[in-house]
Amino acid sequence: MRPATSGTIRVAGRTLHGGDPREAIAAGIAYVPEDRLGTGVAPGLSIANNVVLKAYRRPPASRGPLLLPRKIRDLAQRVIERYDVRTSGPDVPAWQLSGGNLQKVVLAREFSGEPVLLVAASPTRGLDVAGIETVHSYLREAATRGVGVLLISEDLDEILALADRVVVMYEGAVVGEREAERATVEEVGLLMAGGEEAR
Amino acid sequence: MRIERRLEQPRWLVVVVPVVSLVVAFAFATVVLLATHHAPLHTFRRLFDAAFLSNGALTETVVAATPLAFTGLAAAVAFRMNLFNIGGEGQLYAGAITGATASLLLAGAPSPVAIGLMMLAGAAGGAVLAAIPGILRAFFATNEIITSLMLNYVVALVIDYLIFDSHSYLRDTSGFQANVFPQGKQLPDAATWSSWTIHGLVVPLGALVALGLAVAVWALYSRTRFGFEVRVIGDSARAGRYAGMRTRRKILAVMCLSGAIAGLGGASQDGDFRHQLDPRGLTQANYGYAGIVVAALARYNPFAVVLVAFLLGGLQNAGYTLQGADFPNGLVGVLQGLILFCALGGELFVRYRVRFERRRGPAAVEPAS
Repeated sequence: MRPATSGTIRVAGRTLHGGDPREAIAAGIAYVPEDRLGTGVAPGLSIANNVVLKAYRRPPASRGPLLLPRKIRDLAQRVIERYDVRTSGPDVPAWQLSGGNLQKVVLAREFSGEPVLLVAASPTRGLDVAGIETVHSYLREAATRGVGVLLISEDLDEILALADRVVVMYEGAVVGEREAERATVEEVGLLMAGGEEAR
Repeated sequence: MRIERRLEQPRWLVVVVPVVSLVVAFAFATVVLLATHHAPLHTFRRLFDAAFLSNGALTETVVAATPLAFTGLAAAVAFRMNLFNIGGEGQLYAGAITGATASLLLAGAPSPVAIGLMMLAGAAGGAVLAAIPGILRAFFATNEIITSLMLNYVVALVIDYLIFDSHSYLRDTSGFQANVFPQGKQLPDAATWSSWTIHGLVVPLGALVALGLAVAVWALYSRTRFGFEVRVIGDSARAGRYAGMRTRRKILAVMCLSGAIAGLGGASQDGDFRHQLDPRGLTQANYGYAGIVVAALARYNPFAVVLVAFLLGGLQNAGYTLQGADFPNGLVGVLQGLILFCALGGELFVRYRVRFERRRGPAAVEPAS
């Protein structure tokens, strides 16, 4: 994702000033970045620390300026059990997890912030079939709970399977918008490549 | 043969690797000693005696270790965040200058006030100097390794200038000798840092301050939100920004903290040991650079920094005692270098392992995982 140069961002009626991740987090935007290992998690830190990567500022992970390591570990243990992360424990460094398990940790963390909007950038890239299934089911679950889901992907089958509404961008501009039920892979593909007749 | 990252680091490695490294170092040292016609075992015995066992040896070792603990902590604090402050050397000089100035200005003040303000002044001096590469790094993405390193030379020249090339406030200009042999003004007695003698071992205040700092740094980094942010940013700056952390502020804060610790080490040199601003002594000691080695050997762990500083202090102290007509200074340096080289080299095997495997020809395919 690139920094914004113009325009405004409004989330649930609230205008964001842009460029400040902390403000976006506070406004209830959850974000699954494209670069899992390196942006989505701090690879050298434990799973437990990555689970509270955003929540470390408030209780129960911290009290005032003090961190509460035992509480953090408990939170991570709960995430591991609930999201079925395959690992030997919350102290394992994140880089040792497989792509699918890593994405479970990221999604678990992003959901735990009780978001109003979830932005997911290529959340299934590089995952195996089981991992893709899991991520899809979590995205669907979020949508049924009333969270707005903005899925950014280049996998057309994925988009048409998950989305209600498809917006296509080409060279930095929106070039088309379709109901997912009526859109076809050919049509969306043509728009993505800048095809004129599809508009 | 392949070198690969260890998936797990067994706890026993942390003990075994340094021990084996030392054994290897002594094996190399034996070869060097035999080649130069010295009895190896006798020499090792003398080395150990001079560092820890003989009368007053431990006191001298603590004297040598105290500045290394300060500069080691200073380096560890910054390196933990992948912020390579190489300027501990200059920041220590800066702290020595501001510390000495404060104590001279405070002549007549009661001792606790003088000592306390000296510490504050030393820490502030180091912090202000470190803030320069800190600001450059945080706001202009300048490489802090270069800027902090270059400032070392600047401050080394400043400290020389203050005593040798000018009639500054810090220079002793009274008396006949002062023009021939320039030196710093004697600091007031009230500014001499306290020390305690336990069974013949003299513990200077600076050593206790360094110990206290080690505990404080540990608590700061592992038990506070600030420390959490430092660890995240140190591991992946992008993850830090993604999580909404203020990376610039943290860079500046950590740089200043690192400089303040080194500066406190400079003030300790004034107050604990030298009792004047001593440019020659400080610039020849290379405490700042040795502190980087200490931090690396300690793997940036503050408690390990204190331990490593103590061991390296012993090695340095033994070096002074060992050298003489029959044992040239250069040979002492070779032995110290061998021990350091092996200790640092051994670190590789804590994080990586060597795997030997037979070549199976091009048909062999790695099993999918």
